[in-house]
Amino acid sequence: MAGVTAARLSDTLAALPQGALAPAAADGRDRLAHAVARLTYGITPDLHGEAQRLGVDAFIAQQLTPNALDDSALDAPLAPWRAILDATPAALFAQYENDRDVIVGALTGGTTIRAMHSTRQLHERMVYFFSNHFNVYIGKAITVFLKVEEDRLVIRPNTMTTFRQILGASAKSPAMLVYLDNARSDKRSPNENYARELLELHTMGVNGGYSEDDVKAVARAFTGWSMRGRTEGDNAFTYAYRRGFHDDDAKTILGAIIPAGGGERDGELVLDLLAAHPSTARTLATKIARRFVADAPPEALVERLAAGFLVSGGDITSLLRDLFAADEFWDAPPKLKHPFEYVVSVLRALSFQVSNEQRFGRTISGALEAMGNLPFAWPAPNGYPDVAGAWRDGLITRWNAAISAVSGDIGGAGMDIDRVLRLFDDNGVPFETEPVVNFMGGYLLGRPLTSDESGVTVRFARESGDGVDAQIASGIALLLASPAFQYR
Amino acid sequence: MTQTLSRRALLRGLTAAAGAAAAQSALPAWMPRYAFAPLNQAARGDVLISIFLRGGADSLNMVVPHGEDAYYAARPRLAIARPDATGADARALDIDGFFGLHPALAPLLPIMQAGGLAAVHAAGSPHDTRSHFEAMDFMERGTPGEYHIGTGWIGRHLAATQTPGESPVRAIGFGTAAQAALRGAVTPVALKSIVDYHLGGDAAAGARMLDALNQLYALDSGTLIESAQATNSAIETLARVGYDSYRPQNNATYLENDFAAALRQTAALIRADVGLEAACIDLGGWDTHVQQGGATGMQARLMGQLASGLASFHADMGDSMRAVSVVVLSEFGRRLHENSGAGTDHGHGGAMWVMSGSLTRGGVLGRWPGLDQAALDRGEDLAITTDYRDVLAELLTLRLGSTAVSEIFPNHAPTGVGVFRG
Repeated sequence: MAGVTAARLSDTLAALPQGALAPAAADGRDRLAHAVARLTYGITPDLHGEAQRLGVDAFIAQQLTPNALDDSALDAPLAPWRAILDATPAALFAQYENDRDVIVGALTGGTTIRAMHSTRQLHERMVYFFSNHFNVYIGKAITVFLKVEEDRLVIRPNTMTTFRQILGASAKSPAMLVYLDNARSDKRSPNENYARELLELHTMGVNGGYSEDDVKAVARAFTGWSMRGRTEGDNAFTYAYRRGFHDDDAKTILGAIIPAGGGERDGELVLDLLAAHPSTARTLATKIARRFVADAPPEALVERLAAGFLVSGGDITSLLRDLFAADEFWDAPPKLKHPFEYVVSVLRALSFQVSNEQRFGRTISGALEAMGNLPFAWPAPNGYPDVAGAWRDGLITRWNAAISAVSGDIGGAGMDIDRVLRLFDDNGVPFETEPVVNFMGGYLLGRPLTSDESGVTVRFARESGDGVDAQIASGIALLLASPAFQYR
Repeated sequence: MTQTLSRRALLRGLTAAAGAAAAQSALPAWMPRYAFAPLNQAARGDVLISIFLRGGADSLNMVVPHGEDAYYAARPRLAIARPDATGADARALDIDGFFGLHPALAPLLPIMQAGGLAAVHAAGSPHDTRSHFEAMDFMERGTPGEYHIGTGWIGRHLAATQTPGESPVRAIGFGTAAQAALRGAVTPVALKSIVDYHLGGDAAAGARMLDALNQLYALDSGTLIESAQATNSAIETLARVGYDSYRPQNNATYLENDFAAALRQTAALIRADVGLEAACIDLGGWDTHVQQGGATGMQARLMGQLASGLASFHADMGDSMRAVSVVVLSEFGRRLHENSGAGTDHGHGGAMWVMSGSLTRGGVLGRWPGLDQAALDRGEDLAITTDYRDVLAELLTLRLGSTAVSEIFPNHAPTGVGVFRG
């Protein structure tokens, strides 16, 4: 008898997704909800069912191997942007030299669409991460024409490879060469802009152990790494090494001697040196942990991640795997969404679909600009800040975004109301104010509403008109504007 | 599906009147009136406006040392011609026989000559970093070389003078996030536009939603409680300013750019007497590694924005400049020698500017170290002879009624610089 029960119990347990019985985290979310909140841009009606079916471990494993995930659902919504997003800098320059806003709309729209609809959510998060780590500001000079290709060829394919690979791609990226002025650097008087930010921001960190002399020597090593000009036809705006610009004398960098006569290879040697440096491992470990765990990531976690990063030869996916296996990840405190993350999470939660891509591009660029988080629009090379202090002053813009969203139409995109209603149906939620508000609270926050939260929200909803639809819309707006939904 | 929710019905929801302005009181607050200052807003001193030129402004081409041959030798392509040069399209505007203003700063010359504006040359932060981010961080926190004090110099001043029942808009940071200098016990308001600072929807629905949000944010386990309270109070206060009908005075006209808009809004807030004590405004784009330009070009355009904004504000404020002090900072100056890209790399000493009704005199202040090789910092950059904290300390003490300078600039004993009058 006891044996039968035990067998049944073990059958039942085996049928459950892994992690389903894991204890809830300190903030009241279970592990699955925590993983969804941290690895993705937020819950959607589809993901709500899909993640439950997979369970937390399989969900994370899938996200760590993005290329195995079918992403064909993205083809249709992205199609209208393709002509611009697939174009070369030369073609964009020829067509849009005096119409840059069109490119900004496509870059912003395309980035937002991908964050909304891609199944490869972790990959999209890493695109955001590296777009900021290797920040290029599209407001400078001609970078907006170059950024489209950089996004396509430098950042997206390399976000989950090795750090040396994405670092090398960035160093030769025309967008970076223009943004940090290396394209103009020659041996007569080397430009230090790229060299300094390469050391300070991309690799070793400001206190990573390099000197002003190292900055100057690195600048000399990269002289000649340049770009073909606009007059060079189909080759315009592509990487070019200019021998005549290069300082070919010997250099000493971080104590290592780069012998004379190395030519273009000097820069590669510097990148080898920097990519393998322990200070670089620390920089990456700190920033990844800040992105996924906490503004001030635990020191022990950073040390472990950095050590693993060095052992793996700078493998980014293995860094993420180590991170998601760490207790600190699961015990993480609330992490404030950046405005871009917030807006996308609202659009995902209410199943927004783009109906007019140009209008949507304008709407979303305008909104994100007003919130201070338009992609690729941070002027300084350090990228958008990743701590709550930089974003918590903008609550009013988030509250207004929540109000706009429940209107169902944000200019070029609308809520798929049938999909939201089916979510209620699938979960057996009667279409009444209190049950819907409480269900949506759990859906949006990944945990049940507390009785206080529920009380305030239901009361507000009930006082918002006589119709149950108006009450529900108001309740959802309040939930989207509530503090708990500001965090990941 | 048995549910009755329709697209139309959801659309009707909360936001039938989305975009409508909140109800406003009859008289805009900026209008001249015989105000009885509320007890909790007793004037403590000048309103402080701190402007930050992000990127490391090349002060050598702004306040041009035209008496230095070394300046011309180091900058064959970028130097601004001497005031008496022949054949040059544009020349420095002489200030005192040794220094001259860049021609794009022309709107500032009359203010300078009337004693309302001074540049303290060879000033800056003594820490030797050439990193933008480190240098800005040290400068705004007011603690060069120190990493543990998280608050900013203005934030500490406001905290030291905090009393119960303060105005919710004591400190405004223009932009989407308040500047690091404002961080402190007082939660500053980050503001892009006064007229947009309200909740969408009709006023009654907005008020109910704010009330509900207040209750929810009071339950927050994270770090948003104070921001939500500050936002709520600021919505109420800014609605009284009546900015959309604000008209600058004394025929002042502001250009259409973010910098000018921030100054125009600052002027309106000062006139509205809503308790503003400090405002931070950024002007970015000064990191001129290539194609900096000389008398015209990239940096000249930025200088044009700076000068026009300051001059418009000065005119708009008129007599009220008596109670206003503006300070302009940048994280560092730039290298004396131009580089191969016709730009300049990161340097050390720069210039800070002060515009106030209470200067000892206008013109160029500070001790000029010269540009001889031996006088340069590291043999290549303008040296610093005035610690920027000395100027700010004098401003805080003489103009803002501070008695807490030793807390605002810890580990620094300020030296009098004779820039401000008491």
